[in-house]
Amino acid sequence: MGLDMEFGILTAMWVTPMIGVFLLVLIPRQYETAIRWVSLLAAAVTVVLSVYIYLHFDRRGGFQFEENMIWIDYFGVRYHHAVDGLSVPLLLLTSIIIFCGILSSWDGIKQRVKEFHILMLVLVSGVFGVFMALDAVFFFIFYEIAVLPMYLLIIVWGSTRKEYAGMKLTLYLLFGSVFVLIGLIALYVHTGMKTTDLIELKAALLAHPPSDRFIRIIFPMLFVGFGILAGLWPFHTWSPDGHVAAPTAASMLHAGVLMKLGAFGILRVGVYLLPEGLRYWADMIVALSLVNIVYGAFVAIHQTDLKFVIGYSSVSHMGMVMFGIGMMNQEGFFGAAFQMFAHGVMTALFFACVGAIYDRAHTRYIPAFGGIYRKMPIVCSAFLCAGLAGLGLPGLAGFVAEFLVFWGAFKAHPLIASIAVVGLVLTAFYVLRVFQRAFYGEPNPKWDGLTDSSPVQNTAYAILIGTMMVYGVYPRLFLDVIEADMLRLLSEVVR
Amino acid sequence: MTDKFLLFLPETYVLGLAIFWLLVSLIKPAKKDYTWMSIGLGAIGVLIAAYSTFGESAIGSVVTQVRFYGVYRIDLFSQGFKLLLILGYVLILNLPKSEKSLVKSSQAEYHFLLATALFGMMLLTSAYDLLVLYLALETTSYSFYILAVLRRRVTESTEAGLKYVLFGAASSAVMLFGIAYLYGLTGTTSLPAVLERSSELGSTAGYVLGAVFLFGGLFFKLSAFPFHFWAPDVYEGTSNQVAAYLGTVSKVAATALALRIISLLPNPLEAINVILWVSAFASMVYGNFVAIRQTEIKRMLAYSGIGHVGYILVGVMAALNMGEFGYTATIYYAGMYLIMNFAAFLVVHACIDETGQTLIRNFNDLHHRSPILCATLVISMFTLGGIPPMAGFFGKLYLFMAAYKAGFRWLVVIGLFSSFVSLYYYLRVCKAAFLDRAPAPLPAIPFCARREALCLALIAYMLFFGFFSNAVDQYANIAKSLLN
Repeated sequence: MGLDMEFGILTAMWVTPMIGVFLLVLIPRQYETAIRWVSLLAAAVTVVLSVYIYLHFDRRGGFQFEENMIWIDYFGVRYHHAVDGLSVPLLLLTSIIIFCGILSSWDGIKQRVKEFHILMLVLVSGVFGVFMALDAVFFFIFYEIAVLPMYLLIIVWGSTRKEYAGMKLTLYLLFGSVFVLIGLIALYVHTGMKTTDLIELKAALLAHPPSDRFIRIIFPMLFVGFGILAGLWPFHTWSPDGHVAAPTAASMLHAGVLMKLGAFGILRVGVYLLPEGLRYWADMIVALSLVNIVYGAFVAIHQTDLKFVIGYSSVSHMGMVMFGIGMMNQEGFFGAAFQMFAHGVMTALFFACVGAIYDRAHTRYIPAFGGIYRKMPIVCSAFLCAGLAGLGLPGLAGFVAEFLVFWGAFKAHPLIASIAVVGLVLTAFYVLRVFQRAFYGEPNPKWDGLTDSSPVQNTAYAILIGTMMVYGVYPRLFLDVIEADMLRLLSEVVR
Repeated sequence: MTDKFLLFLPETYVLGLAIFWLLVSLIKPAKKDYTWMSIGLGAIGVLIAAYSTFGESAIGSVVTQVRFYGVYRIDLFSQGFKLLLILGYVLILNLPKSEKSLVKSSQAEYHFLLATALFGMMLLTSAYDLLVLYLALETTSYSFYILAVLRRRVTESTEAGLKYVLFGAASSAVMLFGIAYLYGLTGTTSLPAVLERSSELGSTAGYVLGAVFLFGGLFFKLSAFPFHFWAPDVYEGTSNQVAAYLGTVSKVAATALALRIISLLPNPLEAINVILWVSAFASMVYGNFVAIRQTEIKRMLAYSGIGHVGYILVGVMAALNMGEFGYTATIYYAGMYLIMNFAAFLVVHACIDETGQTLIRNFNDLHHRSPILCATLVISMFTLGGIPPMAGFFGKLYLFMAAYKAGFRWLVVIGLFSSFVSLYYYLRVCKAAFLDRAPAPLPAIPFCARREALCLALIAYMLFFGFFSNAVDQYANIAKSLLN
């Protein structure tokens, strides 16, 4: 610690999109193709960087690729970035999704192209920052940078009650960050106002353990604050509305990555700093996330808008992440981490498909469709892949994740786990029902003019499906990376 | 000798400036625009103030000293605030005059009164005696009374001016009453001597009453609850320049005075804690909730300003109860507030419609009409709302950290939640500028090189100052000089 080091690959990672933004500002707005290429290039660079980090990450865990220097001395703010086993896959996930997101909005976004890409890149830069920041102030800053562009993305390029949904989403998430900020300030003051570095905060908390009362008040603040972003019931209602209203690429990023920020924040800040808090509140977390899983799935069944189905399935699936955390055992933690990754890829694929359908048919009303499989086989197959991953088909990433979560759950709370499995069954029900009603069924002559997805979009589907399959067939690729760090975190919780 | 002269140079220069503009107004100039001249003269003033703050060497070279038989204190704190005030003055001069807001024929008076108000506020930062304090405050107030009605032909302006005079006179009477009590009990008007005796006299009703009334006058200048009623009406009625001056520079001066008084208290006085707590709480909640309903942007800024004063008072309380860290945070916030609020006023002033009104819907389509103004508006709104990584976030963060440390946890919780509420109306302004279409075509915004340059500078400042600078060390130095 305390070393002053140079900027490294992690800085490059979050600065790359910002450089992209800077270039985009300089390009005149009529050169739309150039704008798309520049942002795609920026995304591609981050993919390369994240793959490099993934491959060179030492599987023995711990914080690596560390950059640590003093930033604002007076308040003890440090520029401290590093990645551990939990954040490495999430960096990869983010870069893949932004890359695919830009691809799938290649012909979908037609107005204000420049601003759209600027906001997307700003957002993704913030996401990268959150996954690597080890200083509470930087963490919070990046967190807000990731959350706010969404407001403008939704109200300008969105659909379906966009202004309402945009404001609702923003206010919910900022409401959550107020809780987070209060929690962080309390921790900072409690440890003597010397540092905002998470590692040093942790050391200070170990040296002078706070009172039980402190932990019991502050941990739920952090948990709920971050949990709102992760779609925690009963604060989840922003999520379906927001996802429905957002443009395709923004939905992909939001459901695919941003909701993970919430779960990641719970682990990185809440559980890391106050492991006793998780132990105390675990039952409550299990109860809430159980509602998430089952209730989300039930509501998804009754939706008639394709995007609402996926929006509520996200609520249900993100519940599984918190469900896994609440189990406080190895399988549960691994499953939670895996589910973050798997759900990110899966839901991005979902939204990409729905976006493609909506761009062509200009509706998402399920009963209005029928037999569009004949016209759009690729899109429908991609949707099916995502659906199968969601209901846990072996061979896809979702299966491993859900299997681990439920394994952990049956070990810890067999009865509750058997209720939660209902959620899984319901997932199968709503996915296949959409498939049957909208994609097969009576061919509706209205849709004879539909065309299938463009090659650009197919590339995006291929990347996402490929990722799902690779991790589904060879889950060790993921588990090896997270194992050491998740076990370390867990050992503090169950000590 | 030259050293001593140097220390009073900022005030002397501003006084000279005021006399100069008075002479110009006597000559009754034709419709010539004096904007460039005034900015040039102001910029010289900024250089002088900077020189008197930083001296030849690094910051911290100002030697604390009390002059004029103990009524006037020069230290880094006063010099730093003088620099800030004159900087704000020069920024205000950049708001162009137009028939809709401020007629050119009264510009000489306008410049004269701006300068005298600035002179009064500069004295205020150094005031070390109750009488000097009162006189400085009155110099400022009288200038503002006239400034508020300079937009003569408009009824609202007259109404605003009248309201301001009445409220101002009442609060100044209240303050004088408080000063009389304090003098009666302690037999001296020297500020440190009066406040020194708070530990023995702090429990007597007279002393408490005197202190409360003294703060009442201060609250009026800050437009803090319950002395806030004038702010929305005056902002709305008066010209944009004066509203901006009232909303930024004047509040910074009052903050300086509040910190000066607090710093001289040997230990926190219960009564002062209570009134600060109540006023901070009420200002934050009332200002931010009432701002939601406004459709007039200047009124909205007035209410949001009341909310911001609430945050500043939280900082003042933190300063009173925990020392240096709290002072640093408050000074930092006050400096930030000047810039971010000015940026908002700059855009407001550029977007007035034919009737001179400043409704929020005047921002419609701003995105097409002037991208740079739109960017300035959005960023200033985000900064006011305290969204990272804008400078305003750091201001709020430091403030609330200090307040939490000082033990005002509920105030921190309320402050953060009311700042969350404020985001709603700030975002609504952003939406108007970025998304809403104008029902009828709005007047075009002519290109103006000076304004665009200023916008860029303000954007850069708001975006990067908090994140990329260690300036907070300098603010800590200022706070230290106040306490020694």
